[in-house]
Amino acid sequence: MVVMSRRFGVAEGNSRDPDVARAVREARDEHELLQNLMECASNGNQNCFEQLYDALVPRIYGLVQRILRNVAHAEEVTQEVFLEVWQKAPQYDSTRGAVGSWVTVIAHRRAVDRVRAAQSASERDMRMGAAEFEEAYEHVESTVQQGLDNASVHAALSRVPESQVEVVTLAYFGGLSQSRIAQALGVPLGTVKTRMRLGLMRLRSELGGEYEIG
Amino acid sequence: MKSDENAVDDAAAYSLHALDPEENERFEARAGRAEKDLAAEWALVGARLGKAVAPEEPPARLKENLMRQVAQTEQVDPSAPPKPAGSSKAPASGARGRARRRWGMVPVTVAAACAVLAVVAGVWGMDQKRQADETRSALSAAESESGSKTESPSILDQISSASDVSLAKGNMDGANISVMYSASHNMAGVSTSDMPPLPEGKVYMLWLLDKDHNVVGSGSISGGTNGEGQNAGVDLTTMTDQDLSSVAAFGITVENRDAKAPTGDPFMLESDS
Repeated sequence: MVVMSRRFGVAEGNSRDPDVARAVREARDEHELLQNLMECASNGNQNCFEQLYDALVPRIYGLVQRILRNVAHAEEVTQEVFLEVWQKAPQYDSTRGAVGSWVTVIAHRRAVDRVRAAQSASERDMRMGAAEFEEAYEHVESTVQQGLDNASVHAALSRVPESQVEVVTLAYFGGLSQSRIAQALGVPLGTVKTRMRLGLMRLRSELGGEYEIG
Repeated sequence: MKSDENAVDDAAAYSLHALDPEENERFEARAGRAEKDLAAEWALVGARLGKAVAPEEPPARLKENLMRQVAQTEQVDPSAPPKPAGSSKAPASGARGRARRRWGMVPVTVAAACAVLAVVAGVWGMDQKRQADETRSALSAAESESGSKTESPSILDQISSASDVSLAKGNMDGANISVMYSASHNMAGVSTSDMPPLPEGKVYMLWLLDKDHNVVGSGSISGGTNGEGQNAGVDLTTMTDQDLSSVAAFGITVENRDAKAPTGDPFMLESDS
């Protein structure tokens, strides 16, 4: 199938690379474009990787910044993320998730690692200050309420019980471990674990198959 | 892992990178393949949250620095297997089999049983041919083992030889549920093995759902009952009294025997054709 006009563009300079041109030509949609670029990048093509970076970096940088709340750290971590993507590109397996999801999982892990490293450096004891938690809580809350631009994710979150959304988003956007969440909320660890599991199950069910697209 | 449920809870936290370092190590060292597959799938749910964050344009120097590094950095050897221990399983695809509507809240014990079942949902989905063969042999085994409970031994033969035979299946840590059915024959065979035991008076109820997940039929399935020795080994339930023409998905919940509608989020199986 030949698509005459494309919504997704590729910078002029690199489209001269025949591999990039082919990745673009053979893609019927953005999802396939990312798959093709990843495959080409996994063979060591830096031009394909550059296109992949251009396509993915705004979302990844947006997420990393949300989690880290620090622009300088977000830049560093984003760079680490994409370097890891480049290194591991040959291991990417399209049957285990879309390219965007795979990169997002890597970005999340690296961002959370950075948050934890910063926490353990700044805190002598394991107790999280109430004020600090309050700040993290409000940040996560505003991220969920105002920082997401996807209507179906909003709708799905609104159908999951609040106590479950709370722990899932504190972990995901706050980078907090389950034990810290338990301690800060003053609920047993087992309760947090259960809420996290039920919340994810519910969210998956509310999102339907959409969680793996793109 | 203290119990399956703990391992499953840890899979959830692991997928959100919410385990403390020592818990994380323990999970990676000790979790079974089912939990790791589940964690990989839940990580994709997390990724949906991550991808919903509004985009931000990074400064141009980020790309310049990165591309300089890339030019000097070798890629991993593609023949080296990636770390996520696991399987070749593809993530379940499509929205068809997912519960889309709310069924209301459920009592804690029931929710816990549903959670175990949801794990089963998370790990199903294999090569269809092999699945068909396995289902057929599981059902045949169940049939010969529990012949007295079977309404008619020929039902399974009729289903498996039907031109429109379809399958749905899930398994985790030894608990298996397989549904083989033929819409043209209005017959279904359900085999279960090692289902978690249920409290007195509760049953596993199979809900037949249309494409909009409206309930179009139901029946209790064997397995998980106390005191009858049924929760070990394979149990078989056949259904011939249901209209399967509009069935697009199967859901399972734990219910009282006389339940008319699911009281919790069902664990979803989906037909593969």
